[in-house]
Amino acid sequence: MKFKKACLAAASFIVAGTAIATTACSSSTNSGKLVVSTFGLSTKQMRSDVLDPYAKKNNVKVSTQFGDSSTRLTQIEHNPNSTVDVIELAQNNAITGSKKKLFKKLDFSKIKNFKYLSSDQQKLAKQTNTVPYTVNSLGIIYNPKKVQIKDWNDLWSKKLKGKIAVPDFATTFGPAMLYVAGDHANVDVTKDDGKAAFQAMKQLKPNVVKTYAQSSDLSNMFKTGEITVAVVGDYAVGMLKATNPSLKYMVPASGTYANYDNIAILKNSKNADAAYKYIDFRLSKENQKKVAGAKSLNNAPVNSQVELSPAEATNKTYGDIAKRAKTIDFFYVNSHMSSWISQWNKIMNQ
Amino acid sequence: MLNRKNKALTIISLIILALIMLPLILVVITSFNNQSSISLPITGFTLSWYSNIFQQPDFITGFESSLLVALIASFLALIIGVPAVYALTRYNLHHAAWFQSFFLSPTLIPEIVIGFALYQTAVITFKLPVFISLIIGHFLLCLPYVIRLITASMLMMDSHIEEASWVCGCSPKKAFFLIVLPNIKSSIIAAFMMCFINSFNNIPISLFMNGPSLTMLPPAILNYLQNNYDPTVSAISVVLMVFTALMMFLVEKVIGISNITK
Amino acid sequence: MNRKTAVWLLIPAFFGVLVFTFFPLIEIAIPTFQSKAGFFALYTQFLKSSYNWTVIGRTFLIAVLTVIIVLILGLPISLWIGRQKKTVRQVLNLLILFPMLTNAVVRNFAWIIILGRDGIINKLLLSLHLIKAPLNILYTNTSIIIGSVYLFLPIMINTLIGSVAELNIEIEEAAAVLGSSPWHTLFKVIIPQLATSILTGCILVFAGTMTAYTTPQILGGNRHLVMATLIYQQAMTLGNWQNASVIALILIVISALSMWLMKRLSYRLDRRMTNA
Repeated sequence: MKFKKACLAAASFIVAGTAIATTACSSSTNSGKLVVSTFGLSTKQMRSDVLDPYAKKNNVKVSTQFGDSSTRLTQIEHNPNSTVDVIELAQNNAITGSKKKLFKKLDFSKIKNFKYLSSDQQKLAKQTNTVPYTVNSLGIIYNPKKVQIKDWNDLWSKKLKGKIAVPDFATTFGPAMLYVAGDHANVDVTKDDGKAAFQAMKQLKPNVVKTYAQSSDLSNMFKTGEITVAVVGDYAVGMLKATNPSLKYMVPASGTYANYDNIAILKNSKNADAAYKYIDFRLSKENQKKVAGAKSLNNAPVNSQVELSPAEATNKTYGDIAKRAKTIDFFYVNSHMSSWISQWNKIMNQ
Repeated sequence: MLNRKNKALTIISLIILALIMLPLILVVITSFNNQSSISLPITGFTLSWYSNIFQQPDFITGFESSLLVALIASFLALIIGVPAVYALTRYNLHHAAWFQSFFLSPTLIPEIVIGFALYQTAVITFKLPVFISLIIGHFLLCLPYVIRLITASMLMMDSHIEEASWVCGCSPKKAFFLIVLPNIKSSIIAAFMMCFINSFNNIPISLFMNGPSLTMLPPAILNYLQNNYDPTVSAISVVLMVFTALMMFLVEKVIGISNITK
Repeated sequence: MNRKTAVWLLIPAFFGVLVFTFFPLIEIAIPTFQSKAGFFALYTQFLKSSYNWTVIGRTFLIAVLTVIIVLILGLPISLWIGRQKKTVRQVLNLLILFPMLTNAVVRNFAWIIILGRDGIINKLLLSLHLIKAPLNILYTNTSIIIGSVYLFLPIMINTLIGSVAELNIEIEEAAAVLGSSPWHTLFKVIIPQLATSILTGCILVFAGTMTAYTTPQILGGNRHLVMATLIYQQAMTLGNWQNASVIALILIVISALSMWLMKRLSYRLDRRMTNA
């Protein structure tokens, strides 16, 4: 009965496979484990510089989900059985998440390092029920062999026809890009519902090759010569320079826009203890210094005790640049989100 | 005359054939380039991109889970699909044709929609673990291949052989295992291969069914391609091509490859 | 024979498909009709936007052009392969099958090397001084069509080879003797005999291209969204599941409708030929 045996073998194989899978899944909710949901950029450094040291120090088993901020928020929002404990999100997604009451009410006294945040950052944390752990801002990265860029307005130059990539509206710095366009038109975005800014985007369109969803797409496009200039968040600069060493990054003197990345604990986290420890670890002086390295995550510190040398501070929202960085009114942006997305799609992606 | 000796036809066909093979050959060439970007012509020869594959945890675990999911989903599709086909072809059921198209219907739904809809039903409504939902999604991908290929060979098989074994005292169950299965063996292998390959290569369903510590190989390659534009992608592509070629060779040896595309 | 056994054998597959294909579809369909503004409000709202029409139009156009190109390329090579001696035909068959079974990521990625700004085509054209600046081919509708043609050509060839091998070459010889030119023979003798498999191939390619996600994702970028990539963007990036469901259902309806139309056409052709 060769075939019966084969079938039996197959059946037992499936049962075994499913059993392994279910144990693997169910065990992730055990007390000694923490599921972290974080950005998909530089997964290698995230593991070696944050997750592994944290796991070692606190004797917690960490498993991770990597991905885009908005994608991960969507999954959390719709999936009430998600096993994720802590989530790291871009500012606009963190605001959305807290508005939709997806996060646990934070007890800031449980985070020892919280006091080292600036008063503005503490205010933001209390407002959104999430903790900012790094700040980044918008700049321009370009290939100096082919062009020179000094200011935001240079993006509109006719010489750059078909050479630019800008962040898509649905990404972290999409709204910031619209603010930049508003500045180009000399009208504050919050004054006219973005009308003038969208006009400016229309003028920019001939120069734009691609509106990118992941800053990692850029690495590839610089390499293939698809683009020579990109508007980009500074967190991606390290990754881009690693693959394209000749690129130059600059933040125009006229100023830029900042975005905080925040950590939140999810409402149905079963291991809030480890989650608080994770936030504390992320804010600690040692770790903030470590991930600030250009070869690490290139995360600008928010812990005021961390001091960076000028060399360490390059390409980061720190010191001078941090002073120049304006904040985005995400409450205003989020209230206009759906109308702005369809306008953006009509102008930029058609 | 448009027979195989027609010169114009031969030339056109050879050009098209070259166009089909060329891109894959280029991928192979770029995988040996000693530069850190994927470009042609290559400036030197190295195998370091192949060793770099093993330093990517996502590729290793992705390969393992893709393999596991493809195997389980293909077996599941066979175990559930073959009895159904047997029932449809051997018992004079009402609406047999209706059932047939019902079982084939998952092919009419775009894979991206299956992923999106199944995520809501399996993961959210039924609260199934993501891994199980992923298997279900891949099972739906596989079932139509089983139904189509097995039906064809069940209809080709002479049902009198089976009836003769009943007359000779074989129980229907025994007859199924001793007579029917050996007769449709090659189409079972063929169906398994098609299921396995399509599940292993699938992206749209796997994209939705992802979760903590669950990476499938094709999305992992896609992600790597977007993050690091280096020849490691070419190298892993070559590995996958060798994998495909190996399986084709196996099928050819066992049942003859023409069986899998009937 | 026992009917009960048959029912038991059918149940797992039946419920598998029912619960995990049809139930999910109903589950995503229901909320799309529950808008406060009316039963079809979400659909009319979606179809009011010119942007959405661009995406639908692009999806349709890409699918139609892909089918046409695949057919033009696939027909001659199928004729050629189908009429080789058996051993040669088997080898060629393997060559066609190989790309078909290779991962779609690999096959699309190959075209980035070819179509990119620093890709082979641009390098070639530049060195021949045919162009002064590199062309933008990657991340356009053209690159999606090229990728789709490449993806689906083997499927068309594979569908056609079988029936080509069954063609009776004497009919063509007769046509030639009676003074028919090769072109005339092709259109009046060969293609009508292949009509059914040509239509099957077209349906497969059309449906595949309409609903493909990987190719437009890799070769199109998000400035050239098609319906499949729009569904993913709406669902996962923007978190608008209602909208994603609306697009999903529209995609199903469009592709099912066009496949049904093509099938009707093929039945009709079939009947005409058996009558004749």
